[in-house]
Amino acid sequence: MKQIRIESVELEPEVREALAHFRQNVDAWSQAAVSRPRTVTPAARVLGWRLAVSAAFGCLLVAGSLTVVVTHHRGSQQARQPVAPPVQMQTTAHQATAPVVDNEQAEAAARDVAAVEEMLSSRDNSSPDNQDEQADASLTGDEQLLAAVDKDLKRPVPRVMEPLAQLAEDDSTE
Amino acid sequence: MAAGILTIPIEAAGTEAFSVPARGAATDDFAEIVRRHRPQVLRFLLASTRDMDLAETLTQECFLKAHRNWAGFRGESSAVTWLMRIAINLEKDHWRNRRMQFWRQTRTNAVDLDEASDWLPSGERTAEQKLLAREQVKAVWRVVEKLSARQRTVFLLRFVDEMELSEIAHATGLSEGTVKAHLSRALSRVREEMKGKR
Repeated sequence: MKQIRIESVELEPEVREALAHFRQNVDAWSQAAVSRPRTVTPAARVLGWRLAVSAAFGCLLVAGSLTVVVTHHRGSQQARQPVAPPVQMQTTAHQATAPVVDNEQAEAAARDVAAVEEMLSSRDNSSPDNQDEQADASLTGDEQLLAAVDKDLKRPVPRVMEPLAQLAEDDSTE
Repeated sequence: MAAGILTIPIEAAGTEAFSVPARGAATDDFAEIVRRHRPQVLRFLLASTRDMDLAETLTQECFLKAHRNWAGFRGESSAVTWLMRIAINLEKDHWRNRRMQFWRQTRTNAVDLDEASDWLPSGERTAEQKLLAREQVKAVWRVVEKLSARQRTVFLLRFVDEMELSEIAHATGLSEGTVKAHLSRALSRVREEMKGKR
């Protein structure tokens, strides 16, 4: 080690010793730090880790997006449910009024059927009809047919047959 | 921070100034400069910062900057003086940037004085001598910590890197008289510390 002095001023032995120890201290520290073993992470491993982290983040992103979509879908379904009761009420109201209409139609049909049956039975059982049949028996086939038609035309037309009767009348007038 | 930094093994730390290279010196010349002076630069920065990671980073930056400006090195001063000047400026810039970035976490890896004083070559010393040396080193570290930045730089260049006064003046950009004044004040502090210790 060089003689440490500032120009001509010599340092005291104790100060010089302290400064020499200080220099040795810094030198030993720097040498120990520089010669310590170092671990250098291989670039490939770092790249692998980066890829893995990127893939994990990608999966998280996709899973998050799916979760949001599913949650939104469920939420919209739940939001639709409170609207359903009025629809049901409408359908029940419709169902409540529909039987009334159906019953009326059924009654009308039943009345018509009853009228037709009555007409047929009256044709079969009434005495004038029996007399006509007896009279018709003496007639020939064509005459019998025409007579039957005329007889039917004379009878009151059931309500269900009114449109047909109307058409027949129109045809006849034309 | 230090992981992955290319390090060159320390060999015999030559303190002699490297011969002035010719302009456009080959890469081999610069490699020789690094080999010779890297330990010296690192030692100075380590003593200045007491942070090995920071010292290594700044040393690396110092040689990077030197390599970029190697062609412009005119050889007006020795290479080591030139390198020390770069190192001193880098250290100043580092602390200036640190002050500007006050919102950042001001974490530092600087070791405390006790830990810094532990590093002593074992040699052939008795336990008492080792303890005495450790106390002396700790006292000097305490003084170094209290010095102003300029005084500390001058003190460390003189007593750690053993540079001449003229070289210190070149490296710091101060006059030799100012360098002497700084050294004188620093040494008086050391003396006071030693007296106080006794």
